[in-house]
Amino acid sequence: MTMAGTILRVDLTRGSIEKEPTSKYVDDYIGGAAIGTKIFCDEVPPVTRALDPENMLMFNTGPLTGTLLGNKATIGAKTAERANHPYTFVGMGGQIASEIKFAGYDHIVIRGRSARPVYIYINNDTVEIRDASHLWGLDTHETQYKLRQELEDQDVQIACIGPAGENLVVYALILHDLDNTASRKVGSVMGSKNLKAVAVRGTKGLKIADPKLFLELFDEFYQDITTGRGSTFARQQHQEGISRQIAEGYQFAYGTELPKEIPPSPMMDFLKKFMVRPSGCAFCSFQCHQMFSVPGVGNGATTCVNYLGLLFQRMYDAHDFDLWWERTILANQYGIDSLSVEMIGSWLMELYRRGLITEADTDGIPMVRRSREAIIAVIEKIAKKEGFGKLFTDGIAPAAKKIGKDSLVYADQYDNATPYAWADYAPDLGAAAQWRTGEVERVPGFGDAYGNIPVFAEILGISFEEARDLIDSYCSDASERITGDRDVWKTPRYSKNTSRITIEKEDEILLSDVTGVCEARSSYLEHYGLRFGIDHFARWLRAATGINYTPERLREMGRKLRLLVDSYNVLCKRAIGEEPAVGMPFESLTVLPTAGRPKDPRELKKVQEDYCATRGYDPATGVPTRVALEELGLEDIADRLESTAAGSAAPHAGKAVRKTKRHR
Amino acid sequence: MERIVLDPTKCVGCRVCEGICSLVNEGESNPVKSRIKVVRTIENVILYSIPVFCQQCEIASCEAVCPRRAITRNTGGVLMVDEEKCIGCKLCEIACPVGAITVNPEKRVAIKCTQCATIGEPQCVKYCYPKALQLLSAEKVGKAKANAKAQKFIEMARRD
Repeated sequence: MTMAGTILRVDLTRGSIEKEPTSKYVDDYIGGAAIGTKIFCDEVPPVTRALDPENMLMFNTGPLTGTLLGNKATIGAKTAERANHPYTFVGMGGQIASEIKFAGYDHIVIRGRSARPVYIYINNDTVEIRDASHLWGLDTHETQYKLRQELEDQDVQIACIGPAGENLVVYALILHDLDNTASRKVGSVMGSKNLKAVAVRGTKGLKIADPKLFLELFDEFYQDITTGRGSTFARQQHQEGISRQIAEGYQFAYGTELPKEIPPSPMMDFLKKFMVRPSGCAFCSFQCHQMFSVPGVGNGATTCVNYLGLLFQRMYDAHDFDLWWERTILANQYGIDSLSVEMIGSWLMELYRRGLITEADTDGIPMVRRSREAIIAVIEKIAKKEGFGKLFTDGIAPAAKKIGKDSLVYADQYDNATPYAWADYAPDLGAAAQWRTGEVERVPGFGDAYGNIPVFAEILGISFEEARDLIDSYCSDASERITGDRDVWKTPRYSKNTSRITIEKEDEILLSDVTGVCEARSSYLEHYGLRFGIDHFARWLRAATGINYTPERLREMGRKLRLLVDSYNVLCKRAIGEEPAVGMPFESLTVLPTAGRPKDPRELKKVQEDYCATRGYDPATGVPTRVALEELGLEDIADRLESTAAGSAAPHAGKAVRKTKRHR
Repeated sequence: MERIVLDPTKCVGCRVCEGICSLVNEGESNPVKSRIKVVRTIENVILYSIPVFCQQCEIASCEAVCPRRAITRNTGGVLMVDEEKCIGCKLCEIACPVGAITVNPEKRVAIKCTQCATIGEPQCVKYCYPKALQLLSAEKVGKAKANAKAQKFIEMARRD
């Protein structure tokens, strides 16, 4: 049984430590983000704001975390500023997720607010809240280094915030190890609790229920990534990080012609010159991060160079990769989400170009594309809450209000949500249907599949046409697997099967959060040929835990988690007197520069209706239906939704908006 | 005689070796019970990782120091701990020059790399993706390195 067995609860207001058995939740919620969400929904009043002491910050590991087949934790909290998803969770791998299990805990639930800066020290059964005043103000790497020195243990694993989290900047993240981060605004939640770091050391093991079978299953996985379909993805990660350019791939992926020649790539040159080694998370052969050492700029690691580098080039029209690296390591040091900051920088540059702001609005720094001064200033000033950076502490919409002049129009974002970093992925019709319910967490479509054509061509030594055919076959296989129809994935027109693909992929990614498996081992990368999913998760879980999980049980759990999260988020909106915004307005979708986007609002509407009907949402309101909730054993939250609905007896129950002061 | 040989430039610190070792030898996922330990150090935001494991010394300090003669060589020359005889005195742990043998507090006996004697194939080697760990004939290791270095000079000479 690979669950550690204990939920650790730390209350920073009272300074108390409590432990309870995980077993009471396992039957109904299996593990990971599902157990975490259940606890959150039961115990945190919907009216709670992100920076309130009553908010919970949870580290949720899954049954497979800490084994060869899983290594992820999901960090859950109420975060500020998300349009329809104030309660959210985000993955963090590295070493710490596994270490939490080895210390004996499946979940760490942190509540309250400490009066002074502290860190939580966990060493097996010992759990202490310790003074962190000597760490406050340090960047994320300095913090880890210093703590390891004073604890005299190189193997203690630490997750911490940097200055951005301390300053309650909404884009702050929690960082661990070299560059494992939890973004989605959880850094400011941690900062609001005066919690600088969580340090974990564990030496207990996880007993595998059927070691022989588990080894066979791991071997199956390993064979696939070394000699099977998954091997192209694995090789891509290990060949100087990213092989032939996905950057060029994205450029033509949505056009109509394949280029005859590969244009020169500053990204590729940078990779060849400065990459040190791959790095990554515990017990995973992919090691899909890359360490870089750039003289005159600095050292560090990152991942998804292809995607992040491409966005940098697009946002800033800048192609100097030394500058990209400088902004990357700065953002990691400050503990701030570089993508969000980049989008703000790009927004300011657009406003400047249009004359809506001048350098007087940005501390005398002209917001000009490609300007190093501007690019670096945006990160530093927002993270340190200095100068014009203070405008953005609470996010884009409040900043746009202060700037005025219709500035929000140019921000390329939705409601008050962070500019959606993944907006560049082609939102096929199915993924667009997700947005009906305001779900913009992940885009599980095939939209970016063709971006991999140059990568495949180089790694496999085949032509572009052959690479495209190969990728086509992977996507068609997936389409057939899920719907029985090989072609539905590539059509921009309505098909009753379109939403089924989205739902299956959503469930798989959610289940990766429940089981503790990295979503790379799900259908997330199916178009790369890497295919492990719900059927595999069930087998892996059975071998690890000895509990007879089936794919059907897991699918039901995925659906249950999705509906629970969305129901709770509806309660959160209502508690502050709002109804959930229903879906992304169609017009916003058209700003996304991709060919797969839906062209006809009527087609999109039909897919949305299918999606809502299958998932269990009311298509008019985006609210989960009582019928769907009861089917999944969620009567409790169905009752809460009913009692807070407009026109009900107590329409604003739980609404009382509490004023919060940010203490320092 | 084949030995596990490390190429330290190739280790990426993934720790799959730790996971597989504790799985096949103990039925657990537990780095503490792994017989190969990856030492990870971060300096100036760069990770350095080196796996440490028994070198099957020709003149073995652990064998020499054991008061119960619990450590002997098998037919492959691999040093094995007889868990029935071992009393967990930790003298082997003190004597080992590389830190490759440890007394496990839960098992109360010394554990060390056996090159997966019961399976017949070291699993850490099998599952080391970057090939930092390889199974090589002890005699061949030195020669392989000499060949590799010589090849560089040959390439230089060719250019002239």
